[in-house]
Amino acid sequence: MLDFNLAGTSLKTDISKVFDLAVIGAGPAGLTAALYSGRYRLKTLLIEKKLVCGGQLATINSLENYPGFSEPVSGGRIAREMERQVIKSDVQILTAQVNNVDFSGEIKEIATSKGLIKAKALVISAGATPRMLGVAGEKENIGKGVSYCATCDGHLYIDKTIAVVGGGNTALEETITLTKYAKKIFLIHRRGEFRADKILQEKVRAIPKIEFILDTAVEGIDFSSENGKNVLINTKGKKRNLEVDGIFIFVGILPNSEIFEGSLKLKDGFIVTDEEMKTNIEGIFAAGDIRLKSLRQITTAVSDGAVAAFSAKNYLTEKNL
Amino acid sequence: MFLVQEVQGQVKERFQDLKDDVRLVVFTQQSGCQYCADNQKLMEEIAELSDKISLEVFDFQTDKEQVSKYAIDKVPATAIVGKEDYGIRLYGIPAGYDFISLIESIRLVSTGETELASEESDYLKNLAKETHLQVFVSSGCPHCPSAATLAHQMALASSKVKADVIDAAQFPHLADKYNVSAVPHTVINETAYQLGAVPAPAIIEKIKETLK
Ligand SMILES: Cc1cc2nc3c(=O)[nH]c(=O)nc-3n(C[C@H](O)[C@H](O)[C@H](O)COP(=O)(O)OP(=O)(O)OC[C@H]3O[C@@H](n4cnc5c(N)ncnc54)[C@H](O)[C@@H]3O)c2cc1C
Repeated sequence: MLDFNLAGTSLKTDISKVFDLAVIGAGPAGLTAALYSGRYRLKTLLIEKKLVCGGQLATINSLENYPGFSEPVSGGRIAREMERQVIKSDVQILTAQVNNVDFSGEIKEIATSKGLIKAKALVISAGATPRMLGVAGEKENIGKGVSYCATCDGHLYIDKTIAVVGGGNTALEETITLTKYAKKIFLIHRRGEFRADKILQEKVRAIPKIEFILDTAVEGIDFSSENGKNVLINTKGKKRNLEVDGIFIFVGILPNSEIFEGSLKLKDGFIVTDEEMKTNIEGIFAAGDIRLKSLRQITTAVSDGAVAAFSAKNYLTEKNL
Repeated sequence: MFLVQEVQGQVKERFQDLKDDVRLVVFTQQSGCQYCADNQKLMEEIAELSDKISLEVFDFQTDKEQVSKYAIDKVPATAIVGKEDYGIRLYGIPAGYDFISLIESIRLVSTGETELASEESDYLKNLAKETHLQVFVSSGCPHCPSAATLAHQMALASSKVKADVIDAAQFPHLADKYNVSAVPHTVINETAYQLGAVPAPAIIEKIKETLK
């Protein structure tokens, strides 16, 4: 199926003025914060480093648990709709990478690849990136058989054999997506039970081409040897090689918070906020996967985004900014 | 009709600041090419959306002279040509997220505005040897337009750089040849590669490596 679509990034943006609110990162949290902020008629700038908005949402092939869609829907489609909604509420979107921040003054300064941006308040929604397994052979083979995105790379494994590592919702959802391409999938999980929602477990168990390898740790990835591509696994002390064409890893996420180290209170890399999304610095709010919280999903990201924009508006009103 | 009215509107908005004329030089093949006819149709629809854009269509098998002039080696192919031919090519029909790359590259060729720093452009202009970038992408990959556009910007900045954006799913043999198992994947002068959408300096480092 051929689909042609555009969204609104990279249109010319004037960044010389001081914005009421700047939002860093256009995943579902940032898009929602920008939407609310635009509707409050705050002068809003949404900064996203990629040409495509949506963050992790844009990489989800088939989203099943977002309320309002009774059939599986592509994350890319929802992301595009969110972006259009944001543009309609008069928010400017700038395609730029945020490299540094200075929170010392009342006006916050944000150094980006396109120049310095000034804003009275800030929502940080820079999200997260997939966590690596951290085993030998993983890093060297990224792009040579090691992947973290089924939607991006699944089509390269048509009729091939692959391993998937992980036991959470993302791992099981992505395994289901990969069954569209691969002829055989080994689903490897280090525990005997999956953490994923029961409904996903039922679905995965009903697909014959998925073979479960539980209570098993991946100890190494060797894709360079002459006897093919091998994943070294250890099931309760019993080691063996699994021959595959590729491996997809879904073992959690790492927050994109390096640039805030030293300026904001973090715990395990996640930004600490209260229920109103306030960080330890006045006028700075955080939303979505980058925030310390228990459930990281689209629904909670959009919720955080709305609350953060609301709190930012109240802050601007109280301070008369 | 591929482009629904709303998308036509979005594209027209993007085309408002076009400056130089752009020629979309499309190469097709009568049989044995799954997306050639669709690619041609898409480019026809795009050309309709601005009087700055014109379309030329050639047959890959019979129009030998044009094939060699534009150095085309597979179809569907589209050369995006402005005041001159900057070596900007798209292989495969640009659907999904790759459609963004198409529109960005047309704007790039027409406005001549890149986001490269001046020292980056200068380095590329003064390259001792020709440099060939091949960016493998796929229509479902949201990170790909950034990588594709960067390569095309480099080609625009320097007559020494040629940049092909290649759909990995539509050219599986090439994806195999270069061991592409994740996109975006940029092959640099056949020997080096860079994975992911990275900033310009990372690609320039790799170019330097290949020229050592
Ligand atoms: C494969 C996969 C499947 C998933 N499936 C589901 C599912 O089925 N249901 C569900 O509810 N959730 C799912 N999730 C989780 C969900 O996608 C995330 O919880 C959600 O996207 C978090 O939103 P966010 O806005 O906080 O961050 P992100 O989506 O991570 O977006 C952050 C954005 O910030 C940008 N950014 C980062 N740093 C900078 C910087 N320095 N400068 C500028 N921009 C920057 C990034 O480019 C990105 O666009 C899935 C995730 C993955 C990876």
